[in-house]
Amino acid sequence: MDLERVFREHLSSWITQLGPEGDVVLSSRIRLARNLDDILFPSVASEEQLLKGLAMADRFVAKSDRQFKLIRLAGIDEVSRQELVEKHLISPEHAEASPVKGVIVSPAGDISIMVNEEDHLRIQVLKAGLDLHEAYKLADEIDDELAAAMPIAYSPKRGYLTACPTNVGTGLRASVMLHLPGVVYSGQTNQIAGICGKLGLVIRGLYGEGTAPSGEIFQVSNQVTLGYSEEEILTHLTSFCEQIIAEERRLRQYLWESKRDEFEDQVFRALGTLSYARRMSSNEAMELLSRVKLGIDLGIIPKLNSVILKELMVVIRPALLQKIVGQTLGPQERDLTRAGLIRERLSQINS
Amino acid sequence: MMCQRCGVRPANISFTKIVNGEKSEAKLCQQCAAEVGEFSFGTGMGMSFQNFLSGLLNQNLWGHSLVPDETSCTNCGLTYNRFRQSGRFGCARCYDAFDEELDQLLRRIQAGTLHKGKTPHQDAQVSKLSELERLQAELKKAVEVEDYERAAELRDAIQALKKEGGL
Repeated sequence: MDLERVFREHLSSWITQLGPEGDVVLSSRIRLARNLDDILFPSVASEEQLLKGLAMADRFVAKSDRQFKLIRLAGIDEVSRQELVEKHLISPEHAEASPVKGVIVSPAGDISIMVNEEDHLRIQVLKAGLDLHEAYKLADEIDDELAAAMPIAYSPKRGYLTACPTNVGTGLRASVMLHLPGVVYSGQTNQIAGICGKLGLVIRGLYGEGTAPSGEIFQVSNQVTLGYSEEEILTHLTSFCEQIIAEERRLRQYLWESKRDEFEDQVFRALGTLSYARRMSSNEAMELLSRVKLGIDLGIIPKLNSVILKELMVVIRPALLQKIVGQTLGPQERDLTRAGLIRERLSQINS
Repeated sequence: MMCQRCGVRPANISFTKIVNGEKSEAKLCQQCAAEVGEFSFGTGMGMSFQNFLSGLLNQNLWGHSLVPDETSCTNCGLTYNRFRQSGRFGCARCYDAFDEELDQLLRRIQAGTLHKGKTPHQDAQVSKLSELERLQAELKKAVEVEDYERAAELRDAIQALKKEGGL
């Protein structure tokens, strides 16, 4: 099986490309929360009202020339819903077989509009690397197209009205996904988190028993949505990211220069395990892929392309794994298949 | 301790979230941690912020509420008391119904109480108003720095806008 081709069929360009500052930034995401003016918010509206909203979304798709497709969450199986979560097209909360829930997706998989999530409409655009302004530009266009097709709840005083007061105003949540092994290995995670807090940004990561977060991957996003313009929010987050990128590169270089032998050993051990192991959990795979990606980005492993590691970080997740091999797998089988898929992809490059 | 998400498996991972320097923790099992976390753009736990928010709404710094608990939104019927518990509005009209109390809340969770961002295009009147405000502010600045050429341009632009919009 030509895995490169298969992966690309399943993954959108924000995963299969590195994008600006791709050695540190995995992706940028824009989310705009919008509501219909004449229907109660999803948590309290009747099914009949919400179906009316879904029908509006359907008509919007039919009239749009973006080749959008509306997927009804109740019309697909559990693995397919989970696949949408893993591709970041819907939130985990949206992945349920409810007749009122839907998602509009673009053919390239870079745009999605969740229908009847916490708000009636959640527009989302994803881009590779650090590219918040471009992502916003596209989200803004989609927002205008939606507003031309249906009445959107807005007040000049409070802006776009949302179910939760934490999203009101711009309705804008901008996020950047960062790979920060330099920060983690040098024990700076708490400092970065502290800086984020002072700057009105939120940082999230997965922590296991006081050790490093899984795959050293963090997501930073703006905390407030009201009181700043979209441009201010985007510029603030982008300039914070630029600083963190510079710091991450400096720390990587420092670690590489000061602990060369240990560093090289760790990177190649990770590559060895990924190339030969027979069983692998997704957590272990994330840890090892993170280390190898760091090795590539620092030029220690010259033959590999960093984007392959980025792709693998996504395809090893349970639902996508099952979609790629085309069969239903239990947790044990997944560990076997995951290890096999990684081995095969890496050996195709080496040969 | 059992996992706080599924309540079935034992918790062996602590999930930490830091919001504005406030740390919140959840104890999860391996499986749930994998589902909510790694490489995910999801909203994370969804639990902590909602709790923070209703906590903020219930603890009134001023000792009294501007909006009586039984005040309700005429459109969806949500009472202010219910909003305080859930932290969620029922519809777009709730913003008007609870307007007086909102300034206080928004000051604490947002960067301000007034929208400074995008204006929808179909609402042309509104955008003309903000454009007018912008031009008037610029005119004031131009006069202050004695840039009369720019001030004359701005005055013409303001007059044109007023005429066009019937303002």
